[in-house]
Amino acid sequence: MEMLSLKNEPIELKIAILEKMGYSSDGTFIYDSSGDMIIDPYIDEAVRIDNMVILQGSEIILDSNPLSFAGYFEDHGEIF
Amino acid sequence: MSDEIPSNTDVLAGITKGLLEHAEEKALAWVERFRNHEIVFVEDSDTIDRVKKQRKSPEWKILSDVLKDKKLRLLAQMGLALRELENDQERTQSLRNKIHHRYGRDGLHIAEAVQNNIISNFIGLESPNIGEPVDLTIRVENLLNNIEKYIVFIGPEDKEEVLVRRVCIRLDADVPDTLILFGAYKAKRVAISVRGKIEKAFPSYATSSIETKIKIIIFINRLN
Repeated sequence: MEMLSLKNEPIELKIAILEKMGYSSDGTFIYDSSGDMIIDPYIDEAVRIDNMVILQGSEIILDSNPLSFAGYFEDHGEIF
Repeated sequence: MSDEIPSNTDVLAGITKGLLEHAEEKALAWVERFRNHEIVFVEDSDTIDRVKKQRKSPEWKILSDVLKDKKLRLLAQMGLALRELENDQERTQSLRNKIHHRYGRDGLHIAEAVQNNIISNFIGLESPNIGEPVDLTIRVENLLNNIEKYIVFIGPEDKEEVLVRRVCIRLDADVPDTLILFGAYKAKRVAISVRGKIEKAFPSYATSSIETKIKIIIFINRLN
């Protein structure tokens, strides 16, 4: 599975991706279809659009940091 | 003629519209690929590659075999991550903040214990004396779950007399099988002094140590 970096992509593209997946963003944080803010369960903090990752496993949106990745790999295995 | 030349506002609006349409098309194609399980979206592939590399390291193999508790496994991996980020102050601090926010001071100390090789050395020392792997798991997880009780992190400002008193109280009250002192830089000298005093005061305990130029780990083990 390929890792596609969003690092240098414009925010409009990131918002468009989120919207196509049923989420929304105010330009800083991300919200699900019910309007609830997306929280990264591995760090217990809101995910910011400028540092988000979207991983496989029912579309998991996390913050990009070692703790969240390690938690994800523990739960899902190294699927990519 | 001025009617035929678009205004700056019109040009900008056109560019914006074009960019948005392009973003829409790109997003649609990428989301399709995501749903086909061909891609994942990441921000910085270095971070994810680093975590994957750590999970393949020989040290993680050992820690992973011993540690079964999910929280401890995560914190152990964060210890390895902190070690690798030691020369990058900003990223180190950011990760320390995240660990502290999620797991508190004890969690940060568990990660630091792995970062500073305390746990790998402890496993190395304990392994030959333990028969079943499950017993080693119990011993190491107990140490980590009671980290404040069994590992003394000596800070640069800690006073020797206060530390000696603290260690004596712990050895008297809990009679632990192992108590570990850790000191780095200025605190290394303090740790060595404390060790000398403890050796004199507690003949029922033996000490051993592992040190580098800047750090020392002192194991105080109860004699059987």
